[in-house]
Amino acid sequence: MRGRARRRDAGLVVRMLLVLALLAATCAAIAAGFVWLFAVRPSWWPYWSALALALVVAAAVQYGRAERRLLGTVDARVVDARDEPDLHALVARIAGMFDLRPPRIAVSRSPIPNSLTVGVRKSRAVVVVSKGLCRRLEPEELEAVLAHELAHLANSDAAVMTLAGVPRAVGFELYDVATRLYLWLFLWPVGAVLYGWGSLLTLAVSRYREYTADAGSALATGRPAALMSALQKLSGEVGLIPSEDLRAVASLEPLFIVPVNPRRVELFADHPPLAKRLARLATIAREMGRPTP
Amino acid sequence: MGLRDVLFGRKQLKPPAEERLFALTTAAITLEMDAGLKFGGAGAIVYKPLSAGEFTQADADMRELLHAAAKDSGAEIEKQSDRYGFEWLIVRDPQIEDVVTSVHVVGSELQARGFGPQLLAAAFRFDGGAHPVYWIYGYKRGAFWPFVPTGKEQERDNAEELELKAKLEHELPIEPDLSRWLALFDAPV
Repeated sequence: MRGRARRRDAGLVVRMLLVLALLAATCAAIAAGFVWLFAVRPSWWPYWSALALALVVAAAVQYGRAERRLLGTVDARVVDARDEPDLHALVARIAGMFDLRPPRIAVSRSPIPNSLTVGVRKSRAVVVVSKGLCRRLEPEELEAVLAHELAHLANSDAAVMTLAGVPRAVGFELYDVATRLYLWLFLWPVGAVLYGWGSLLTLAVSRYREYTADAGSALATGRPAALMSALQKLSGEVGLIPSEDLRAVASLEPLFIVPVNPRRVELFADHPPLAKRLARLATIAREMGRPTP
Repeated sequence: MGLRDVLFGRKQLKPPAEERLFALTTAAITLEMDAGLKFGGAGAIVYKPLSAGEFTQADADMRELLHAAAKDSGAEIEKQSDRYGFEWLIVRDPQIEDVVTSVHVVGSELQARGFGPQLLAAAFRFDGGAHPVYWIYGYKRGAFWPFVPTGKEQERDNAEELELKAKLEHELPIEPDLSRWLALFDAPV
């Protein structure tokens, strides 16, 4: 049984290496594209430089704005230890197990039970939980969900996802710039293809990071079964709510513990399917009793 | 944290740092002379249990070992679970050396069986000030920090804690990052 689990884990690592290689290749291709532009039309160099600069600035601005807007979008308020003593104590202890500084905690008024972590830098991170989450889950399920979020922090997932999102962001900006500058024939298709391809790669990284955060949660709580029941509860409840209400938060989708709009085809999903997450956790549960070598 | 951890996520919790628990036994003398704080006769070790057979077995063996040792020294051993899902093994004995040794035995026994990453902290109570003073040892950090709850809800006496830090800095390995000074308000010691 152990061998099978290790093989499964190895399979995931191999897939991840492949995705990373493709990401690196894509970034290299983007750079090569610019070199090619400079080489083919050297006299247009101010134009190409401006395009490159515009891409970098646009991506940086969009990214900075997104992080600031996040907390507003989910209607969350940062709470201190006096407001939520239990939540704070719980988060501090789990953070201790991960050897992390306790992050700030924000509570959103949303009745939809869900949770996410915001912040690329660990020192500025905020873990957001919804009122619905605290109400619906049993204490050990809540602990498991918080541990999943802290595992994302411990694994620096926000930073990894930002880097993994570079080709996608460049594709989006190219597409956007093309539309504005009437460079339809030339840049538009390049941008669209890059955006689509970059998205697939980003989604693959996102799914992988969900698996590792689930495993991290199981390690820190010692109870994979608690996360399993929490995921089942959350997936059930989130799925029941009409999606119109959730369109506002669609852009945050990969950050949540369970997807707001689950996709049928795994390739296009930012979270692995529930059944696969549960199967992995079940394997971890069987393994858990074995001491770490 | 290595590149591997960044790329593939951590596969294990951080194991405990090199243990420096015994520094507390010498620091206890300074605490009594300089701060008027006497050991309160109780210490505890906090760890996260695993929901699996092999851990339960290790846990039981370790407690048996501790009980056997306690019979000789006259210490009292007690086990409690808190509402955050952590286990506390409490050792009551007027001698700080005995309590520190017992906590050390528990820690090294769990570590020897491969469950070291489950260790979170140890807490030792001192009395004599306005409020009880706890010296908390963080296994992941390999360092101590003071914790002085005022008894009013979630309040801690930061001034007193910083003063204790200043007094003991040369004798105890003290956690330099204040944001990691974990509070244990419900410590059953």
